[in-house]
Amino acid sequence: MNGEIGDRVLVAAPTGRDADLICVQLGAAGIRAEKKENAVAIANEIAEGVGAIVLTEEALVPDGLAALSRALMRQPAWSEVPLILLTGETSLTSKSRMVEGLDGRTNITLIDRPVRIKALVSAAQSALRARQRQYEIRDLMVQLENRLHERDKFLAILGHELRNPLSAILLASQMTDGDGKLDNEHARIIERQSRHLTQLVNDLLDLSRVVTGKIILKPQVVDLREVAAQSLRMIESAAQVQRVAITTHFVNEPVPIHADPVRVDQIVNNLLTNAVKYTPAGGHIDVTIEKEDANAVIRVGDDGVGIAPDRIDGIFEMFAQLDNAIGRAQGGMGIGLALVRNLVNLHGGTVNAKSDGVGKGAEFVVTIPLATAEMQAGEQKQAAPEVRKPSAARRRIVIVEDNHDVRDLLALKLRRLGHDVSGVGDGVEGLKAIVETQPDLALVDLGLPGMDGFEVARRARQQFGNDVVLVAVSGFGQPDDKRRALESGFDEHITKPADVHDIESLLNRFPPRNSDRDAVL
Amino acid sequence: MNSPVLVVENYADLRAAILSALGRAHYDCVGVATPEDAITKLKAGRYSAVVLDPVADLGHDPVMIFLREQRPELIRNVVILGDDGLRKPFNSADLVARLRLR
Repeated sequence: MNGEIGDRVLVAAPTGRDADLICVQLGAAGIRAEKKENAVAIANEIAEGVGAIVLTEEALVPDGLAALSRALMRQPAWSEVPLILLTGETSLTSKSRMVEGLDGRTNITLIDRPVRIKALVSAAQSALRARQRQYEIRDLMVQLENRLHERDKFLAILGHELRNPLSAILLASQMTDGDGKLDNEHARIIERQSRHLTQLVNDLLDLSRVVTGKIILKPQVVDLREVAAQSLRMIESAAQVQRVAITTHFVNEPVPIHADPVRVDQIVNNLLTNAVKYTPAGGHIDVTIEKEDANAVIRVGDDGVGIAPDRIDGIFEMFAQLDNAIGRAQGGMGIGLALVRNLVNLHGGTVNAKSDGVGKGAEFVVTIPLATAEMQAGEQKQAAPEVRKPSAARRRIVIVEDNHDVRDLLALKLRRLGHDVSGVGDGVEGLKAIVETQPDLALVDLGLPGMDGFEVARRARQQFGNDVVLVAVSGFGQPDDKRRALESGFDEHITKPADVHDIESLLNRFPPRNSDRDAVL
Repeated sequence: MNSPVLVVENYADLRAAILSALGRAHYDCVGVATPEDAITKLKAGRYSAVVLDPVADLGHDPVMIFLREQRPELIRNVVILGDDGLRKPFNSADLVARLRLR
């Protein structure tokens, strides 16, 4: 707030030309000094902004002292205006009475007369420095207050965001028939909304990890077209429900980038989700991939609700959609685009939003540097020579998971795919089941009663060496959790909720390790 | 036979689930996503009740304004979804119970 007014020194010295002299001397030292008639006049200006006050003892008549004391008491918590008091030959007792009269809430420097100019200037300078620190604290407090306010808003919106998907899941789950079975339509609603919630949780956690610098990219050379095609498959169903048509325009040659495919999928997926969300029924989305100079470029354009010109600059800020009624109604927390920008930046790329205004659609353009020939050559050398063929063989699977709903549901899904599945609810039983059944694959929750998942893995590994594929399934998807799981002997770590398709692709990556045994079955 | 129930909910999967739940309870219902569509439907036909997820507070929601001004007899047959009424997430029995109370 204050700027210059907050740096001024107010001077009251009723005797002779003292005030003028003080102002001149301070002015010569580059300090903005203003003469005031008396202490009451100074007291009246404290609230407007003052850097420091210089008073002579004569200015502290009872009225002035009382007015000053009141004004100083009214200061906000961060503020303590420095006061330089030029005293005469008065006794120590009378000085301390004056200080007491100002109520202790004051930062006072006493300078005995006759005053050396150097001493006065130096006292004024250090008073202004102290005042500057107070302003910094004030600004920090404002910042913290704003952040708290943002967080409160965020929690309110988060609550709201969870309610719609949860309502849809709860209602759809109650639409069973007489045998307790759900039809396809309601099962799909539950699946779609569960995925939506999963995405929300993942985005939240990822954004916090990106912001705190905890995300570690696992770059490899990938064709941007392939990653985008995968993202498009995931959004198909949502686009169909919304009755939005998606058209792709992919350049007819590979678009190699050196990037983490999981993160690129997240980038594209967020842009597509956003486009679907903001494009009303009957609308169109165009996804273009091309090469421009040394960059791969992906454009996601739509003819949806568009972006107001005054919002476009802040659209990638976290919570940008909080104040946007359409965003709120459509379920937008302003996390997705903030995450996109952070992930694109991590890849050395750029992201921009364009729109001709409200109702005129929008286009998001992401560029990521193309992989160099060296990167591509290096990648080929590192490529594993052994390609594991997908296998649809029936496998023996043990699930060790203490939440029986999660365990039973996963077991049911895997049995439907033709596998031989058994499930147990604690670590000790889990190890026993693994020893007894010698499964092809054991899915082990990490937080188990009795013996935790890490210990189960260590002991199972001791018994079987590499004859069993051990997969950790946990709610903790941070890099440290994964590392710890792999160190304990797990082959893989997947984050909850475990998707049956993820498990299938794991099974395909690890063909049966004991084919003789399968042959007997 | 009763006139249908109009369901105004912009969250597509939730709208579909509400229509299913009311269908199970033998309500004839029609679903729309936006206040504009809701008002068009209300102008064109007769409805026995409205299940409404408001887009603004009740004083400013366009559907509530329309109902107050043009269909005041329907106001007591409105089930509001959200903090001012049936709080989300709700189950089908609660929704049906609210409609029956009207």
